[in-house]
Amino acid sequence: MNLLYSFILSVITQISILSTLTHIILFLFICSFLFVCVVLLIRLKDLRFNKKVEDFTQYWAPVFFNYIGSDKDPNEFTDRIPKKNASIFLLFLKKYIHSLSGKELQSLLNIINNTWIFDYLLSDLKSRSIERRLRAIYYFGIAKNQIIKPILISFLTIRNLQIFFQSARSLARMNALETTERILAGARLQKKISQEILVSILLEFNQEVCEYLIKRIYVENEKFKTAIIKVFRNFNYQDASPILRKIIDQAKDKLLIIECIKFAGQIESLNALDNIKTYLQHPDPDIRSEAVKSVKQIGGDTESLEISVNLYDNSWQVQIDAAEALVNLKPVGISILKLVAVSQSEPRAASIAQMVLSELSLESGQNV
Amino acid sequence: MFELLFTTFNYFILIYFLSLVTIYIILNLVSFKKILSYNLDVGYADLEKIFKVRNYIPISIIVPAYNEANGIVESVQSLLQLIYPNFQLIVVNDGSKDESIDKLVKNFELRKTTVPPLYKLDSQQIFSVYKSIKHHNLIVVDKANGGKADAINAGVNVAKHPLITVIDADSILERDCLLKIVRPFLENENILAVGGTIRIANGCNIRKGHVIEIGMAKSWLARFQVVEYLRAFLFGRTGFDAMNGILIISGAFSCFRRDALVEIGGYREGSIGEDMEIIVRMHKYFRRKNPKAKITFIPDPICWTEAPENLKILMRQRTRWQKGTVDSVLLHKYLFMNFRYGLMGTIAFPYYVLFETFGPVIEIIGYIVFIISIVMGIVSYEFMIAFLSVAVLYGIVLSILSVVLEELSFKKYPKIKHLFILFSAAVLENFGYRQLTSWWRFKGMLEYFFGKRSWGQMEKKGFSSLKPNN
Repeated sequence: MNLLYSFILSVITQISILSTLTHIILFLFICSFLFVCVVLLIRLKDLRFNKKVEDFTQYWAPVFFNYIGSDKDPNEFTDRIPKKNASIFLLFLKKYIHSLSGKELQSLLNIINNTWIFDYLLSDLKSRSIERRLRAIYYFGIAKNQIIKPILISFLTIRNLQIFFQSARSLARMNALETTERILAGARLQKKISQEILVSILLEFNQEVCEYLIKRIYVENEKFKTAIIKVFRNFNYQDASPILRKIIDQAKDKLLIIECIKFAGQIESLNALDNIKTYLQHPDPDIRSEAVKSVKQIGGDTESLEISVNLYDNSWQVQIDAAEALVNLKPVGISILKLVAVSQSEPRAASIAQMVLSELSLESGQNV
Repeated sequence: MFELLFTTFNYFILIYFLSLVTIYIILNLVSFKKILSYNLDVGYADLEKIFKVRNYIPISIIVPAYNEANGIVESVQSLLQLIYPNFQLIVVNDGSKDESIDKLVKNFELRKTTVPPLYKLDSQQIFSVYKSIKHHNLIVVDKANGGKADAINAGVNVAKHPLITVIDADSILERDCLLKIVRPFLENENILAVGGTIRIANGCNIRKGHVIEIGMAKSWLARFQVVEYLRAFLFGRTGFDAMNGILIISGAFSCFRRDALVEIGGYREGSIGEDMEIIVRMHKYFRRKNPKAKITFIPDPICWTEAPENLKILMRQRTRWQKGTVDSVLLHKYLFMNFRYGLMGTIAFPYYVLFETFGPVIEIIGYIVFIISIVMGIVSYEFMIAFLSVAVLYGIVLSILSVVLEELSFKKYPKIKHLFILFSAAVLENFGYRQLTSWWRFKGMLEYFFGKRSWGQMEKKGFSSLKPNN
């Protein structure tokens, strides 16, 4: 009886599953068909768009090049372009943004700032579509459009990282120095922002940004301090030399210490030299590595002996950096390396000295 | 008794299938969101400007090469042309029996130099290290044969830069691939490794190590693999990346933080699936130390590789991949349902165990039990046909979805003809090809447990022999 019951139950279950499966089959069939249609539609739309771009370029490129670099009113040119082709026109302009310069670039930017393109981008800026907003922010930033600044500033508090990043970059491209503080404040609201992204934003400003940043450096956290020092280093901002020592002394974060040491080496900050020399024996090998390079840059051959101690470091990286530093400190450094290369007591240091000397021979073509 | 057993197994298959479907649906949704947002992200990023002045991380590229004399010079020449401010190229000749090393010495004016093994990762004996006079960033390591993992370790030992990129000697890279692969390291200090999307180069027009024009492979076998790769990279890896659950980064193109690689002792010698094993080991080691540690993936198609167009070679590849998966999973079984590793331990790793490792076994046994059940009258024909139709149709929908995503994002295949070929391949692969690969994977498992565990030979025709097909 039990067996019969379970058999009947199994048949009923199979029938109900079968009916469900039939529905699923139908559904999947329709899905497959729809997806194929979607792909084809996307592709056809794309091909049509590409054709339009091609036709547009063919027709308007001669007119554009006739206008570019001239003193003509851009509206004379743009008014002839149908507004429905705005997206294509913007793509067309993008191609030339990075290849033009001087008067030619200015005339291109006039198109963005002083024609109906401005209104078109302005409506994009207010659009709900992130893609359109990003596009507008990008073009206004390139065109350094000052009128749009307040809107871009308001975007700095938006949580969307893409909008924040593009807005901040555009403001920096405009060299809107007064917004530096707001950019830093906005960056603090972004959970996913990396130091490198922050640096890439700040590097869009002119060097004058360093004067603003130096005022902020003491109030910022260590991550932001590191970014600021990186910006100083990229602009080779010598005026930061006096504060460097204090920043290093207070620094706890490894990346900040490394960045400060790198910067001190680059600007050859003599007043930071004694401080940096103490890092030659720091427990962290990455810090010792940077200290070796900086001491070489600041002190030159007078520091050869100090650096040579790191040839016997327990980290390979530090040893290589010490040997590479010494090879540049001719003739004292090379003499030290030659002595170490033939010594028997420290095989690791000897092999690294041999490696660096053999590289030198290869590069100079002479036996060292 | 048998009936009950078979019925239970059939229900198990049904539940197994439904779970797989659910996971795929979730992965699909996540991948769609992620790839579209990624595209938006890089659209206006001006990548090269982000690396302005000194804002970049130097990279050492390691290229293990074994008997690659036919294409090695072309490969190195193309790699030297990559767009990146500071990189070092290290070619490791892994005891080749052909004239690879002579060709390299002659073409790049190599001179012997002294480089001690810096990080002491285990590797076979290094005979010589050469440096090029023509290109100061080119180093060639000549060593005794020890396999791919061993060759990479030897390369790491002489690498100077903080990031290590490992590529196959026959991979073709997009010229801006380093700019793209390094971006996650710049954006997030906790990134340990990054992988990129690999695409099939068969049918493309390749000149001097560069893809000049993208085409579609002529043979159906390669076309099926194009669809497979789209599915694996656009959906699988992108989806798992969202939960920090990437367990494999293709050996054809991967990038690591050198200190992380050295800290875990480099690649495991003798490993069958070294590219999966190292990633799983990285998760295991670093995520206990730093819960924010991440291994990520960029969906950009940055590397092109040759797909086997011969059943025998493809079989060897698939059995080897399966052995590699089983080997890595067994070595790190501790991660299975381990809550300390977050979604990686509770979803990604169990997925690999249940669906990637044991999937082929369950599939093959399922076919057998299904047939017996029909013969014994436990399952009706109608039910069998309906169930198989659902499985096949579902596979088709998944494959077509990956083509949809490709079309919405990268649009690498330029002609409508290519799309029709992809759709056809997405349908046809379900009738024979998929069952065949399942069988090979099943065979791989049997060989792993009961037969040979070695790598086996992998023959490739070389890009010069691939003809463009437009």
